[in-house]
Amino acid sequence: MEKALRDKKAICFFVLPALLWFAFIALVPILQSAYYSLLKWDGMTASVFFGSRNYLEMITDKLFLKSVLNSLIIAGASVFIQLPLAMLLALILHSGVKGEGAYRTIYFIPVIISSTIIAQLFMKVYHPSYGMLNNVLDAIGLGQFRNEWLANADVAMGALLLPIIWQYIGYHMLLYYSAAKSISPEIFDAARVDGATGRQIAFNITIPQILPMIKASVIFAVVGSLKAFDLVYVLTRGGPLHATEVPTTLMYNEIFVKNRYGYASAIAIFIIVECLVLTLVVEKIFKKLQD
Amino acid sequence: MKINCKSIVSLLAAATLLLSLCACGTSSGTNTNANGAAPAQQAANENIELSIWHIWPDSTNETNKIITGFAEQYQKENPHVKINLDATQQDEYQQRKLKVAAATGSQGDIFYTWAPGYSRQFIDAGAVLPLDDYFAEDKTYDRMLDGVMDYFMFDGKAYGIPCKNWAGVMFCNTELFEKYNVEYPETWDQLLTAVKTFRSEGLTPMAMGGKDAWHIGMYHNAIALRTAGVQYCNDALQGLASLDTPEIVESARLMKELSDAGAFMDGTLGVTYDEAQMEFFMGLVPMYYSGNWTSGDVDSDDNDVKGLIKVMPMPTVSGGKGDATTHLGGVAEGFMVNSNTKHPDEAVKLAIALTEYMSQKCYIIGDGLPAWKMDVDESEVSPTLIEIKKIINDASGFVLAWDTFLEGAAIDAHYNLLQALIGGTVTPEEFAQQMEEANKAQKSQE
Repeated sequence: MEKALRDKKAICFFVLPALLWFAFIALVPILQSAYYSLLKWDGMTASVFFGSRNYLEMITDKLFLKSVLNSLIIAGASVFIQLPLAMLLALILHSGVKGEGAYRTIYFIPVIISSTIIAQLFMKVYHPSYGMLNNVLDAIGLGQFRNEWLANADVAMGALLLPIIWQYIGYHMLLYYSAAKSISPEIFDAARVDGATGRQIAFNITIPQILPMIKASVIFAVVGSLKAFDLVYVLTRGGPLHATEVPTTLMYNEIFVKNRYGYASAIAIFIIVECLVLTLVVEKIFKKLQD
Repeated sequence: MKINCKSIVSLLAAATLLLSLCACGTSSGTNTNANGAAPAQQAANENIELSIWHIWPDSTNETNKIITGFAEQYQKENPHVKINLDATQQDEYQQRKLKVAAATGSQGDIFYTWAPGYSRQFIDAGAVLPLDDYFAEDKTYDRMLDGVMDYFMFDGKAYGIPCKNWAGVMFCNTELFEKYNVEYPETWDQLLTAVKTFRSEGLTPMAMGGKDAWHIGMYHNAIALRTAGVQYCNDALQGLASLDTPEIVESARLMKELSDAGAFMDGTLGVTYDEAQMEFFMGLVPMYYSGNWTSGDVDSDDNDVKGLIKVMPMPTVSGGKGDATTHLGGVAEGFMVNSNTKHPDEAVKLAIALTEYMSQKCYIIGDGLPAWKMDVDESEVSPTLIEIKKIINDASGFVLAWDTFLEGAAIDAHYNLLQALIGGTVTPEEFAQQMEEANKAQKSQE
């Protein structure tokens, strides 16, 4: 094995097909987008070289800045609300409740439902006249909190966050749960013999042990939030009045309504760079934590 | 290192081989085209394939059946022609597939499209075949209704073949009007009274889903037609006149007035058009301004409003320049022929036959009003559609929905402004002013 790993030619040979394929479907399109982002182009007729003007327009566009802020809010909510909830569920399941397997499956169901269906579902929940949310509020005597959830610019962002957080809790829970399962049981036994409480075990053993998995899940959550599109698009289309606009919905609009391929490519490149930068930041933070 | 180089070289060789294979694949495709320019008679003996791109993928859909039936019949009558139907769901087709394909000229030989704003980009890119010579030879114009080609003329040349006409009307639920003893609105004041009466009875007076901005546009554009008149709207949308006029401001003000009077569902900006129209179909909402395509639905057994529908034009506005004989609508949909088609003569012949056939059949199923002269047994036609046809028989003019007239960024601006108007973040004055700026900016790019 060691010999095989030392054979760089063999490594090259076996990695090459996957590398070529990856280059073909990922790297080349990204580079193409980077090139398009320097053009003024409608996707049809001849393009004009535009240099950095798309980027200059982008960073001075209030709507774009707002969309970036919104995507950061989604990322923040994912990391600070979704992940702790997922962790809580994972710890409870891991502590051995009755029906562990059934809960595990139930919490995972939203992950496998298509985002479009979840969005349609929540459109019905939030519907101003016959929506479940308003009717439940009426029924429990909180009628004054009735709202036009997706039509009111002040609450739409919150209404959007709920399904986004809800959808992937099961996914992160499963990541934590399986990581916790892989910790050697003797450690827990030893801790119990020493008289550690469940909370002490969770904070001093389980969480530190699964830190690498937490790092991975934070990265998934952040990157996933920054490129969130399907739920937002179906649920609100970035509205009402751009209150829930994120860079991806803005990009979609620029291409497919306004026919501005160049500018939309600039947004795409921004999203890629933003994801890379935040991934690096998360890596740095966790490196500090692990030390 | 040496072997590394070797492997790279052999890899390159393999890649070249692969590429050349692909290249062969495409070039053998075009080889059959070697004598594409041959006279039509000679071509008639040769077996050819033509593709038709359309937007009705659901095989239970009536329009899908019309096109499929047409293709079978046509292939029987013209055994040398093989027709490939390629159907894509409308939004996907209109927003993405056709745009992407037309960028490389690889759309179908005959493709469904929308005039005049949307197709302008394809014409400018040279992806569409001009049809004047074919029309002259075929005497096509003699069989079309007057004025239907207006929006398919680009820079003085005919680029498409219209297959149906449309018109917007107010659908009224007679049961609710009679129950609450409300007058059918013919003027703006009557409309406002009706809205307020229904509102006080706890009903949503009009069905509108503002999450789909074009649905707000249906109402607003029809009102603008009443305040500014047909001629002015058409001129202004083409950039020949300003959209920032007192009449357009007035149209936005009236739209806002309607909204403030509670005409639309609370939270309309969060509701899609099909959620909104469903409440009309369920008989919960008394008024719905929509196009003739809704007549098939309101006459359907599936909906509770069957037999309860009265259609009427958008109410007139006092002091407005458009009277009740002018309507939102016009001939905007039809087929165009790909300029890269291998068999232009056969493709145009097929496209003309298809549109003429569709014009008749779509009228019978209630999908559109005719664009061609024809004799139809009206007992087969949806009763509401016949009523709509009666209304537009003495029409003095049409204006297309603005979003089919405008292009690119101006459409986006229109959508944003409509929603902002309902949401109260722009004033009617700003609406008109920003519409004019957006339209001017878009036109000046061309």
